[in-house]
Amino acid sequence: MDDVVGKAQASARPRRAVAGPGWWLTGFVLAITLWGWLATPYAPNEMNVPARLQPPSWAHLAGTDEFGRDILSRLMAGARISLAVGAGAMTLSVLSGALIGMLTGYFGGWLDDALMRLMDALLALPGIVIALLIVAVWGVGLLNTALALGIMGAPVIARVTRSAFLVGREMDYVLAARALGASAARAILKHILPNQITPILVAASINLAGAILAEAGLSYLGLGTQPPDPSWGRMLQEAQRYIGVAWWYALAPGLTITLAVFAFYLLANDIQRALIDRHWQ
Amino acid sequence: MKATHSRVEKALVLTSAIALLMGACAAPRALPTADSSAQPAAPAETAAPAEPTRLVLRTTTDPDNLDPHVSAASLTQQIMLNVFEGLVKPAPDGGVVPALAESHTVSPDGLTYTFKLRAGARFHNGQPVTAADVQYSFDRLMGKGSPDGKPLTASLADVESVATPDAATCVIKLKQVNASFINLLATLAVLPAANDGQHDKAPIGTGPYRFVSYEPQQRIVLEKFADYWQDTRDMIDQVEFRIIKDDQTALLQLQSGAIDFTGVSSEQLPTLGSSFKVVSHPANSVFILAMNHARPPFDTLKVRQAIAHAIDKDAIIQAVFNGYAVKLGSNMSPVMARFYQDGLQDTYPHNPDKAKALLAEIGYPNGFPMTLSVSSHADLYGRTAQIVADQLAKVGIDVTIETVEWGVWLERIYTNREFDATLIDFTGKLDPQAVLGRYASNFRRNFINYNNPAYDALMEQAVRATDPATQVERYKQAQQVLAEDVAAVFLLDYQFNWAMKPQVEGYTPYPIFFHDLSRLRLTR
Repeated sequence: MDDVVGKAQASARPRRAVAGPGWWLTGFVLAITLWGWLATPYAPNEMNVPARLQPPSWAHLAGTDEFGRDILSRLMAGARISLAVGAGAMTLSVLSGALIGMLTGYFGGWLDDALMRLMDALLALPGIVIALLIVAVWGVGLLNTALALGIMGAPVIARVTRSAFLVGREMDYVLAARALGASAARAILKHILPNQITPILVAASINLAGAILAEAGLSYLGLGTQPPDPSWGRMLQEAQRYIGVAWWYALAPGLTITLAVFAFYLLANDIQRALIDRHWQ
Repeated sequence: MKATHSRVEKALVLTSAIALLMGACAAPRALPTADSSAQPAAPAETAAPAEPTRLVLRTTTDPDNLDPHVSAASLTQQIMLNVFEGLVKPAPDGGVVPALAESHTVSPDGLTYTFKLRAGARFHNGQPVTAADVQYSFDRLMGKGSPDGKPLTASLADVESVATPDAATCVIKLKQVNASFINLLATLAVLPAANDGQHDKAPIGTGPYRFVSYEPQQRIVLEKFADYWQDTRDMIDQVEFRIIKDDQTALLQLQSGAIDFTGVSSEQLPTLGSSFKVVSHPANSVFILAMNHARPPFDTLKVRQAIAHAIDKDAIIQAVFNGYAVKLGSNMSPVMARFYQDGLQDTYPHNPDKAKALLAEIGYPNGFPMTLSVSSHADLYGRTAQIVADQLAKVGIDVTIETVEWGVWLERIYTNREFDATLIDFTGKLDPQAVLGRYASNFRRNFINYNNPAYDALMEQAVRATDPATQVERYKQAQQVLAEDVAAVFLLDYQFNWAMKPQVEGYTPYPIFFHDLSRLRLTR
């Protein structure tokens, strides 16, 4: 009997393989990025006007853009910037936003009022104003782009985290842990966070996609990548006007961004499961 | 209608970028009962009371001001030139034709213009146009009676006095001969004195269409003015200008039949399909690569020549404009027919080897670094910058592209002149003096710091010439000087493409921003 019960429990929570689909897909995206750093099929900024707007072919697997540049090469070259800015901004948003959300959600009171009003103020400010402020103070550059996007994304993460913690702190297992003398830090990190992390990871995935696209929007302030250097967001933006005549032009960066965000989401899922598994062992 | 000339700096660029867009809608034509006898159309239709004809055109942006003496935006003028008229009005060929003055004479010394006012012209409120209204309008434009005394336009700077000795005459005396004076009058509206203080809210003009309503971000509605001094019977009864910012939205609305007329970009043309009529014409713009002559190495002629040889204008036209642009050689579009000097396009043909040789000759065998600063308010600049940078890189010039916001561009580059090089398009003017005057050393907005006494002298001779042939000759010589000096790299004049329902007939391009509704007709 005992054995049977034990087996049933084990099969309900099978141990996950270390490398889930998220790891594979993320690895693939990073490998392409690294490859694009070292070499691309064509020079990413090399123009060839007579060969403009050509559909995908063996010579140009993703087709060419309005200047006859190879879209695949530009996607590979742009990966570094888009992923660096996107991941940097997301990390900043998640670290700061989650910290604020955890504290306000768990402790409530004046801390909640003070920090969440600050977050509301940030939400109310158009992101572009924040970006302008950063440009005015620190000047332009990749790091400042990530910084601006990171600050813009923080309030949303904070809100999501806070609501997750408002629910989490009332859970019986948390109350039990507190009653047994667990510190606030232990309750937050060990008990609430692993169980409430799903909405935060989803918000982080959306944040990543948003940051990759927003980077292109900032380049008109001189903050994002400057032409002719490619980034995925810029390519998507530039492709818009050709959407009626060159479908591949917008499709390529669009699919790439989707792939990267999907990879990250799966990876986050894998990590979450791994954490839970470890927790249950 | 508006004092574009006075606000050269604002109007200048702006418009071209926004470019395009208008739309007209063709409702099935129904003849007004009044002309049923004149038009032997199907008898069944003429018998019934006619349904008013209607057209919906697209415009891209809200008008800056409904008061024609205050408005500076070309896109506002494009609509409101239908509502307002001056003593003369623009003609499609770039000249002027009589409007509220049925004729005029110029004294032999070129200083006194005598206008014979048109009898029977009426304002949209039904009141006749009187000499007092003409006097009022010129006084207002020249700032007389305004609190600060500032003129509303710089176009009348050469005017000594305006007088209306009798009910049918207006006499304008100039301080000095100004050969382009008559052109300047084409966009200076005559307004009713009785409407003072209301020109921006309830505008009243004398044009073939009267203003009906304006809803911000929605539409401007105009209606045919039946008492116009010309025959209006065949004109379309109601015209709506719908404000649609996005090009793709406008195209979809045209295809769905919500609008009848819109500007389309060259990329959109192939997707338009064959069921629409397209009228393409050069915009009378001048798109240039401007270099700051006050900054080395651009103060050296051979450097500018090398840059000119490095640029492949045909590739730019192909890559950025899908081929819908004409190559320029100097600061004037071929649209300015009479004044245009042809053949300058090849003053410095595309020749990278020659460019490299010139650079080596003056001590830049490996080129030099430079910054190309472009505004981000229209993607035309950023896209052209990329290909220019690519072409210059091939002769060793290392270009860094810097994108700046439009406000920054106006402030830092256009006003404070802090830049190496930039890309900008000047929009069309009727007056060659306004087109070429930008390069006069004393022009307030000579932002590239071009300074050539020989050029200044030619421009002065042209504007003071009493003989039209001499004037044309001087303007042509001036264009040649600009081309040879590489005052800028004169790239191209892009085209406007207007797509409309096949029922819309008579669209007539002008060298300025103007959708002349009086020439439009709807057929079945």
